[in-house]
Amino acid sequence: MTTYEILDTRNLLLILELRAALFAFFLIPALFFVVLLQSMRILRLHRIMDIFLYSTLVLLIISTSLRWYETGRPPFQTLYESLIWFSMVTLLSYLVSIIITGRDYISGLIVLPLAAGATGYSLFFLDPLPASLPPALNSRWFFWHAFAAFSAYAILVVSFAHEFIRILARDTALRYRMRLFAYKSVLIAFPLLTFAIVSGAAWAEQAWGRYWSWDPKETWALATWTIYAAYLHHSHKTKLSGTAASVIGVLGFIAMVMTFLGVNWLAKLLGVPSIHAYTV
Amino acid sequence: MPTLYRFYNILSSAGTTVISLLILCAFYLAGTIFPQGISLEEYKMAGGRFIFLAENLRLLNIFNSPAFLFTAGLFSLNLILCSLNLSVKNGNPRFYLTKIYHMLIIGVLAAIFISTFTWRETVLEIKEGGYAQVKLNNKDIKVFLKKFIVEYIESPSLTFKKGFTERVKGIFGNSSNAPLLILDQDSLPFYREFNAEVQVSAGTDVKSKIIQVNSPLRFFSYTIYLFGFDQVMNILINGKNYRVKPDEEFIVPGVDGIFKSSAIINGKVLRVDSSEDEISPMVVLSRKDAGGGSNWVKFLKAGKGTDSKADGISVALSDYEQYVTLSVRYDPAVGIMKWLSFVLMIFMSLSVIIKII
Repeated sequence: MTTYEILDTRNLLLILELRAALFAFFLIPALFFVVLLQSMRILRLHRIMDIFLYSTLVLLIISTSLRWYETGRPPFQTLYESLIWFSMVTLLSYLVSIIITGRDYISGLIVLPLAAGATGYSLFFLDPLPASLPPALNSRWFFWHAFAAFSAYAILVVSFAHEFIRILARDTALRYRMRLFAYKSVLIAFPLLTFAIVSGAAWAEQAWGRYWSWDPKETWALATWTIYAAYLHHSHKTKLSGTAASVIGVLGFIAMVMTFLGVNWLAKLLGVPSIHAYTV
Repeated sequence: MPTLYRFYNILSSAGTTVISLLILCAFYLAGTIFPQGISLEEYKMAGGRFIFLAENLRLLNIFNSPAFLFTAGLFSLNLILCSLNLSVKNGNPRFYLTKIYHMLIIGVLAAIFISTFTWRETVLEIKEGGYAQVKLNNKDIKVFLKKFIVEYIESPSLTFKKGFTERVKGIFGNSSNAPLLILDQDSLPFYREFNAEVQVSAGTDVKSKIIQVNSPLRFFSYTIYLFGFDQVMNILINGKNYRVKPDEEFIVPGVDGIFKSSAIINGKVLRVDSSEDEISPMVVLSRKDAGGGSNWVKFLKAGKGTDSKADGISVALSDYEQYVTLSVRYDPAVGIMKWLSFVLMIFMSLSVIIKII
C-alpha cells in the first residue's frame, strides 16, 4: 500500500512564495494602466507609479528569496523559477532606466506586458515544484552562468522596449533619447552575455570535456551575442543615428527570446538533439 | 596601389564587421535548424523536411563548410585589422581598454584554433575494482576505478491544478485546489551525485580523486571526466537467474506480462528532514501486459539476497556489476583559453564602465 507524508513546513513556504508572486502579477497590469494614462498625458501619477513599481519588485524579491531559501540553491533550475527571476530583473532594469532617464516611464508600455506575461505563464501553467539539482547542474558555475544570462536577457528586454519606441516615435528628441538608452543598455548587457557564454563554455569543459558542441542552445546564444556585437558596431559607426541599428536591435531581441525559451521547442519540432534538454 | 588601399580599407571597416557578423549569424541559425554531424540518410530517417537544401548546401555539416570557414576567416581578418587600427584618441583610457579586449578576442580565437588541431580523447569503460591502460599523446596512462558510489535525494511531488482560476483559488487557500507537497514513501529517490574514486598513474606519478560530473581529475595536461555508468544485474525469479541491464525488457516463462528492472539503488540517500541513510542494494521490478498496450506498473522491490513475493512470484537480487564510463582527454590549449577569456572579461567590463560613466 502506498503511503504519503505531507510536508507541512515546505508547503507553507511554497504557498507564501506563490502568494507573493501572485500579488506581484496583479500589480503589474495596474502599473501598466497608470503608465498608459501618464503616457497619454491624461494624468500625472508619478507617486502612484513608484509605489506600484517598488511594491511589485519587493513582492518578486520575496518570492524568489523564499524559493532560494526553500531549495538551498539559486532559483534558476526550472522554467517556473527562471521566469519569475526574469520578471524580477526586468522590473529592476526598468526601474534603473526610469531613474537614469529622468522619470521616462514610456518603455513600461512594452516592458510591463512582457513581465506580466512571464509571471502569469509561470504561475498558472508551469509546475512550481521545488526540485533538487541533478548531478549535471551541481556545479559552482550554475549560479554565475544562469545569473549572467538571465540578467543580460532582462536588460535586453528594456533595451528592446526603448529601441521599439524609437522606431514608432516621430519626435526627434524622444527618438534620440530612446536610442541612447537602448544603446547604453546593450553596452551593459553585452559583457554579461559574453560572460554567460564564456562561463557556459568553462562549465561544459568541466563537465563534458568539451567547451563547445554546436548544440542548439549554445549556437542560439552565440547568434544573440553576434547580433548584439553587430548592433554595437553599427551604432558606433553611425553615431546612434539611422534605423538599421534599431532593426538589428529588434532582431537581437528575437534571437534572445529564442535562446531563452524557443530553442528547446524548435529542437523538439525539428528533431535536432540537444544536450541542454534538462533546461526545462 | 589605390585599389589595394581601398581593399584594405574595406577589410578593416566597421561595415565589414557588421556584415560578416550578420552572415555568421545566418550560418549559426541554419546550424540550429539542421542537425549537425549526421548523414543525409540519418536525416531522412529522422523525418528531415528540407532534404534538397541539406544535400546541396551541405547544411548537415555547416560549421565545416567552405562558405562558413571563409566567412569566419574574413571576420577574423577584419577583427585583427580593426584591432591594429583602433587609434587611441586624446589619451582616453577607454580606447586602450577597447584595443586590448579586441586583441584578447583574437587570442581566444587563436587558442580555439590551436585546440581544434591538438585535442585527443579516449573513452574507457571500467568495471568497479578494475583498471584500463591508455596511450595518449605518447604517454602511457593507467586508470584504476576503485569504487563507484551514487548519492540520492528524496524528492517530493506536487499536486497543483493548472489554469488561472484553479491556481488563484488554490493560492488563496481553497483547500481542494491548494498546492500540496507530498512524499510518496514508495517512490524512488532521485540522483543527487555520482562519485567515482579514481587513481591515475603515469610512470612514478600517481594521483587519486573522487571525481564527479562537475569535478574531473586534472593530471598534467590530461583530464579524466566521469561520463556515465552502466549496471548489469543477476535477478533470481522463481529460482531462475536473469542477467539484465536497467530498463531492459524481459519475459519470465510461465508468468504473464513483460518485466523490466530499475537501475540498482545503492548508496547514500539524503532525506527530506536533512538526515542521511545508507540504502542496501535493491531494484524495483515493473510489469506490463504482453500486448504492450498498458503502462508499466510497479511490481515489487527486491533487495540483495532477500526474497520478495508478489502474485506468487518470488524475486531476489542475486548480485550486480557496475561499469563507469570515463574520458581521458588531452587539450593543452584549454588552459590558455580560460585565462585569456578571464582577462578579456575584465577589460571588456572596464571599457564598458568607463564608456557609460
